[in-house]
Amino acid sequence: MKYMDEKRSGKFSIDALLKDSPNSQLLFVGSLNCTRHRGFQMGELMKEGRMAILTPSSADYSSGRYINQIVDAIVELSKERNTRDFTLMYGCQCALLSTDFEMIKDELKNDYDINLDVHENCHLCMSEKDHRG
Amino acid sequence: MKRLWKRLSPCLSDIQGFQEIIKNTCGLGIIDDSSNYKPIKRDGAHHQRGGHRMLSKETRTVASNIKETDVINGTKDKIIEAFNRSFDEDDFGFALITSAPCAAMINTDLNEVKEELQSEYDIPIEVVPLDGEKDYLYGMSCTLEALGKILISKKERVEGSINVLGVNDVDWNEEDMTRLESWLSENGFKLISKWGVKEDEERLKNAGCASLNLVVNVTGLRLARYMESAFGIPYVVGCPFGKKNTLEILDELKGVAKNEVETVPEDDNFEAIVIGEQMEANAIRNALRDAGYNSVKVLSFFEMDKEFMKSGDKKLVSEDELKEELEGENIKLIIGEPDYKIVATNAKWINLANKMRVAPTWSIEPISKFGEQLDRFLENELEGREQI
Repeated sequence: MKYMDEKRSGKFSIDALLKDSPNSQLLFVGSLNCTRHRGFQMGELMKEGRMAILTPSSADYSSGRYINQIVDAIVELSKERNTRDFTLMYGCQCALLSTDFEMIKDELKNDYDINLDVHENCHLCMSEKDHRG
Repeated sequence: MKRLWKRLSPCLSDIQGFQEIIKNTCGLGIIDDSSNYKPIKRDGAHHQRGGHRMLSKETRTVASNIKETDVINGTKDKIIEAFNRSFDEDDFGFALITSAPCAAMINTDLNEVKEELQSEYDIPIEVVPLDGEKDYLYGMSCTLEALGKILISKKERVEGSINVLGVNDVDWNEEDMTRLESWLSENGFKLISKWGVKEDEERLKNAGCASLNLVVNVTGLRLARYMESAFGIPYVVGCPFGKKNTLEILDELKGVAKNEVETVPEDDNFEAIVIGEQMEANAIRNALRDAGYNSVKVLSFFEMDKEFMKSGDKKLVSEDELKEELEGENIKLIIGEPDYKIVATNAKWINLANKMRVAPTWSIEPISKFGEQLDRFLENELEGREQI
């Protein structure tokens, strides 16, 4: 991936995730504290109308409600921004809870005809990989 | 939907509030987290010392650098390691420990870590119960309370002495801080310590001898309540912005009973909104009443204390809620940071400072609002003139 090369060379920016798909939207799911990583880049993409941030509460995570919130957020953004292509980026809570992103992708595809790519960038797991739709 | 930020970037986190308070002390902050903390970016100025940790005048926090396997093994040893590394390399007078979201989820017993460290080291240590999910001012407030618990001891009371709790450089500029000190002195109060900005540790340790606390920001309330219960120090709450408000606070400080007069429209027909830190916004509301706005509501994305909320006031948790409030039919005036203008409105907009969100579009420093300066500012803004 081009942005993986950029990350390795220290030039990585979040908008690189959207470079290959100009109509795609980015959704970051994590805590308020997670936005300390590349917060200004996220702000720029929000201003351009290409990104949104979902910050579920602790109770949302522990009850599993955050999974429905992810789906609802993407459906809402899809309607408002008139796109069916999304990339999801997530913080360590989703990784810690072993979130089944395949289930979320299937639900979005089958029920709403929305394509979702998942970009894993977990500081806890030291992992960075893609799960393309 | 709730908790979805589409246009407005969210507020800084409670952990960043913790970081900001620690920065102004000689203590060490340990955050149980997987990655390091850079100084909070305000003007693009960064300072980072190499390696796995930073401890400079801009940030005095270290991370425990936990990894995936620590979820199974527990993070206690990593926190202790982080403390030991810092103890070997730097001089600090106390330590505060808190959890970031990933560590908070596995619920490490930070009090057990504290006890183990205290059995080995002769240094005050306290736990700050945060989880990275709440707002910046909440984090500051909990950190100030923890700081008070380890630094303040009971001392012989000095009559006419006072601590100022919650003063910070987000809502207060230097001129206002200087004016506050002069105002207290002119009115016969001896200032013992200021909590929330950079302050000498010895002065903080002397806070227990004060006869009174003045809480100027919501971040000072937890500490004030702790000091009242632990040392019997009473407190007065109010931000001395606006002439009338300042006089009322002075009366309260001097023991004059407060004459509470509240004008709230019966039908909640609000004509003005102030969005910001609760105590500052309350002061602006009071000043607006003198300018003819009798029905003003205060909104905030940050912590709000129920005791100081009035009818119509609201703690906002989402962008949608803000949008709904801004679209209120009768709203003629809105005072808040410019990024909050997420819908077209015909209401007049007056800008406030903005430093407590992830990516503010504008960089607006706090204006001078102490005493009658707020009234003059509002008068000029309401008449559409430039501030003098």
